[in-house]
Amino acid sequence: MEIVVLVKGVPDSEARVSPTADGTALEVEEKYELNYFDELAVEEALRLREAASGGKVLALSYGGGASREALKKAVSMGADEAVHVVGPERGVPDGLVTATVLAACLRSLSYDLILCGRRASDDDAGVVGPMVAELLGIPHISSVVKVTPSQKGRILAVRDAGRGAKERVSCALPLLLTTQKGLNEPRVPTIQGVMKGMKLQPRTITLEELGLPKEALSGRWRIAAFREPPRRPPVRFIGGKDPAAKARELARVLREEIRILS
Amino acid sequence: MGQDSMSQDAVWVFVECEGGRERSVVHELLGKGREVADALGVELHAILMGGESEEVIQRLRGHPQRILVLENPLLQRAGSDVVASILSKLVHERTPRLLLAGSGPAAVDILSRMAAKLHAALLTEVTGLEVDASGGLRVRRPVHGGRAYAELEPQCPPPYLLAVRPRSFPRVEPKGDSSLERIPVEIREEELQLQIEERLEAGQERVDLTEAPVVVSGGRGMKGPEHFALLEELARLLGGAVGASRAVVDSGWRPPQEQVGKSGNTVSPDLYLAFGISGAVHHIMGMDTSKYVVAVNNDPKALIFQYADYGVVEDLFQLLPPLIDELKRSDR
Repeated sequence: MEIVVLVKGVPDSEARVSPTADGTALEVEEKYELNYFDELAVEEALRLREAASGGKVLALSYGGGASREALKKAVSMGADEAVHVVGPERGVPDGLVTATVLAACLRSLSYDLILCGRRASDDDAGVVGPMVAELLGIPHISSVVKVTPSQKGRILAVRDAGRGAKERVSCALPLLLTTQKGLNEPRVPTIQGVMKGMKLQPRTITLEELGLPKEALSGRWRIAAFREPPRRPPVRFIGGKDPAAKARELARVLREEIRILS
Repeated sequence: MGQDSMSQDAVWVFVECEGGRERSVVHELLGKGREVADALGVELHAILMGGESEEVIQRLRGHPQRILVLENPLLQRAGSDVVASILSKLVHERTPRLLLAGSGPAAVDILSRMAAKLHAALLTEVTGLEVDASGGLRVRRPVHGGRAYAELEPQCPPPYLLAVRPRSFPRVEPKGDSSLERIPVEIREEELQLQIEERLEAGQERVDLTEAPVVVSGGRGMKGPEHFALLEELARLLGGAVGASRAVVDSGWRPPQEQVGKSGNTVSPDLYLAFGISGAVHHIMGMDTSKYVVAVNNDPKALIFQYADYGVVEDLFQLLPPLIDELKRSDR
């Protein structure tokens, strides 16, 4: 089975993020990691390859330096190949542009299955996976927590259907799956893997080579401003001589100040 | 059928149902949709898949001028690809200006496919929406787990598709009446590529974490899965849902769907109670938009207190039983 994993490099959760004073841009500390849900996707692809004792896992990313970091990690985990569609360091705020680029590249690759995380932690949009599927004209199953290949070119998956419910869904290949927490425990790369990742020279593809019209790359939204999140006033500690007194005061706060039971 | 201009530029609200009931975010969208439609001088329409009960339609009445009901028995089994294709066709024919849905896995799947089909502008996890005097839209959404907010304006023609995070807008009581239009739609059996083999419901009736008015979360300080019964009781008294930190889920004490944080759910309840949670950034990313945060931790230096309105420095096992007793007293 040929599997393509769509990966994104995102600032790690400790990276400093703040709007510039004039609010026109966002300053993001350059500490990138493979997006958590994409890491699940890479792991699942490797497991499917290992279970089938054959096939190929190709990692594909669109972007700047963060993409290189994501591809390095995917290869260090065990992906066979890496393709980097070189794009701007900071993309436009429109997932459809990303999806259009990825779909254009995928048309030149062969795949049975496409895997990607259910969302990325920077934009938190969750749109690129289903958009790619739509652009390629293939079905997708989102938020999968279990994947089993079956005979006759079908995939059997369990998806998180929200509210604690799950669905067992089957579908013919080719197919796109987005990955949800609980699917697997991503492996820690071996030392050889890390070396392989460090030496990685991904195949690079330029936007010109994909032959996309210019308008396909212009975002449908423009950033009017970036804002700081609203700040809370300093915490007010609830005191009391013993736990019972604190509990009484907390219950009063819930009732009278937060008005939760009224 | 004559479509007047008000109806052409309408604001649509997608009525997503789960288990035979509309999601509660639908009523928030209808309230905001009404406000936006009035500001734009256009109609508000609600659109839902047929097969849902008449009670759902009754509850929608009053907010929108018109309720559009799509009818085909296969809709109940249709995946997001089929629904997106039906809705896209309708959007193409009737040219609404704006389509609002509740952010959530099913709606985001549908809207993403619609955006790709229609080359339309889509934003998800929207928390704010304003219309200026000239009818321009400004949309607000968090980025980087709420460490900043982006305000965006469309720079392309409508339709604009927005998936709004639950609890971003207040629920508004309906007024007036709505007309009803039933629209038969065509689906061919072979279009249904995804086969749902089985649906495994959660054991009990659960409050959706992202829609719950109160979330009671536990961290490593809970010391073991058996102690979560205390949080379940507190959540029940407060009409809320139980959440958990990543450490708790990774230890297998609670199921992944209860996780709050970067790799779990993002919640914005009226009240978020954090018990024995240290306050790592990845957790804060999932709850910082809550209206009130109350943190209980025995370590006065715990990071969580920096993100809380109220803090209690106490052993949670000493605090929870008397707190539950107090609330039981005030409950009646």
